[in-house]
Amino acid sequence: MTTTIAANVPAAIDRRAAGNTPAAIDRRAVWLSYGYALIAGLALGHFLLGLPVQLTDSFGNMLKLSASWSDLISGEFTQHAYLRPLLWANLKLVYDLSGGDYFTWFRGVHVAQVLILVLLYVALVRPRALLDAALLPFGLAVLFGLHTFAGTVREAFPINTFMTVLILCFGAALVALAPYRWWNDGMAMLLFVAAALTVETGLLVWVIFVGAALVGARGVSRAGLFGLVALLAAYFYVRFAVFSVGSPGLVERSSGFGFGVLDPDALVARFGGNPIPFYLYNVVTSAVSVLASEPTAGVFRVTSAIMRGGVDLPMVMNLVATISVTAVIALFAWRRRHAWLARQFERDDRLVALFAMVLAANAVISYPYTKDVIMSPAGAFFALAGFVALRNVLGWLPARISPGLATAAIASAALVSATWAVRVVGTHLNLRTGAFVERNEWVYAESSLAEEGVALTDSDKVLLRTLRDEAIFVHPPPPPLELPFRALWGGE
Amino acid sequence: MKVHPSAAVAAALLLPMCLATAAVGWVAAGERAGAQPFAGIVPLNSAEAAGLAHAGDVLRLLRLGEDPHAVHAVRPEVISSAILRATTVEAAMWSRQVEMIKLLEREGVIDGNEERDALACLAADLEIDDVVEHLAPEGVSGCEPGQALARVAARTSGAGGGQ
Repeated sequence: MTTTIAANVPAAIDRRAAGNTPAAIDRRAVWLSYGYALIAGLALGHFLLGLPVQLTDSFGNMLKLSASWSDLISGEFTQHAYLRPLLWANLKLVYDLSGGDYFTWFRGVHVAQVLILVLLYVALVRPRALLDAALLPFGLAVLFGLHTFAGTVREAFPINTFMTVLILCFGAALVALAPYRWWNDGMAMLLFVAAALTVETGLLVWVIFVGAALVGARGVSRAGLFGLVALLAAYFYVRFAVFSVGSPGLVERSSGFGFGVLDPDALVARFGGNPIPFYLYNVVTSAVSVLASEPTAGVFRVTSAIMRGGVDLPMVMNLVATISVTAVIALFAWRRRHAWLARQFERDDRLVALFAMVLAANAVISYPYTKDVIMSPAGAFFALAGFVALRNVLGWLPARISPGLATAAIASAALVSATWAVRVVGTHLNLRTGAFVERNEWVYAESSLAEEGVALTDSDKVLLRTLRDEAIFVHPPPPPLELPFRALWGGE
Repeated sequence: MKVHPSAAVAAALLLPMCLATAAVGWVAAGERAGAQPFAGIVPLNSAEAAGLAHAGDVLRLLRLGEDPHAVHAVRPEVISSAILRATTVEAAMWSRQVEMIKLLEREGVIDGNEERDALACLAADLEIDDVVEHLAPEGVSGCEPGQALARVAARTSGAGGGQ
């Protein structure tokens, strides 16, 4: 394998010099890459199928889904803080199609989403040589292993909205970076409307189209871009002027700050007079979180642990893993700075630039409160940028380097890869832990809802028992996992 | 053939990923095929499920017809090497979760004051205050300290286990 890769390296390096336009595509690399991505996606899908439909976040939403289409969608335009009608349309569609087989449909959709996401990832990074195929597992590990991704698989409502947005963002990037075709403009507008009306982070689709155009991509025409600008203006007009939906305030939910989490009352007490510093904190920490995995959800956990002298191995590994990828992206940007200043962008340049733009915009959208999963689009583009930066940086390595330098480079690569390997396994372990937790919640569902004073109608109780029986009896829990070297996952 | 440094670094990046993918894929493929690779402790009966606080498994096994008052074999890693034979309700005490006890009550497993008192004595021996309070809100009575625990443990020593 190594010699085969070595034989392809000169061609790969030539390709960089020619500006990402390979003379020939190695079909083996393409097939290997898509094959590996499918295997990785199916494996994650298997762990997803271990999770039942959740009680928390899902049951309450599903109760609303028995309402008529018109009531459900119109209700979304008359509420405060959020405008997400297509989220509910999506849920309602699957709910109605399921015919009562909720687990199969909702979990099936989640698995299908993961598969679509990994295929889009491969389509975006375009592996052309065996060297690319060899790096692809690393890129997918960054995608699956980053802390911002966990919320896209661990939770569902009962469809994971953030995963939907990731797919729409990757789809947008694919259209934006593709050669222009007559239907691209319509597709761009469709993707924007779908994403923006699903969840607020869907507005990033607009950033992707406009950002790609700014760095020379011509997938969407000038007329299409004007259409997108008009749609964005229409979105804000409808949201704020027509329906007065507004935006989330301090009282919406708890949020991380410094070394802890502040509940809404504490937030109001501390920032009620002037929330700007809090919003700035959220924007900055959200961006830094993707680049360094510290802070997470607005809380400086590692820093706090270091100050207490209680830092553990998983914390260190997370920092090493994420900062290493950030460093490779920074190195790529530095080496390409002259070309960028001369406005000479190749496809890999555009992907890295898109990451920077999505990161900034995603962080700004996160201004009201910090939550890792909200930054999942930036995290996913981090994985794209990390892959393309890495393959370019490797391509720049000279054919002859000193043995000491070669040893250091190989050892560093193995160490960083090992940290990501641990993280990606951790994502799967987290799902298995979740399978146990969610089922236990269903066991106690009726009593816990009664204790909370939640009154259920007869039809609500039927739904509750259906979901509970699916979780406990129809799809019994998968076994807990006992992997070697448990300490690597902090006792996950 | 001389290996290009890029290829060597790519191989170093690839190897840990192959191991991780192999581990995850092995679990997924194995479980799809009905095996349980890398599985931790999987409860074999409702007593083990109760001892491990696997509420879903307790409910499932009881619905499948297991007798919660029958004495089940319990592996040493579930409770301890001193307790290798217990009923479901007894083993539930070692979960140390009052929710588990309430679940068994709702399922009609704990019935009658005599059984509640006996279980309250066992909870008192194990110093699980919230379970004691739940089972005997007026306080435990008629308990000889250590007796309830000794009675459960005696099944193990009587069967020659626990060494």
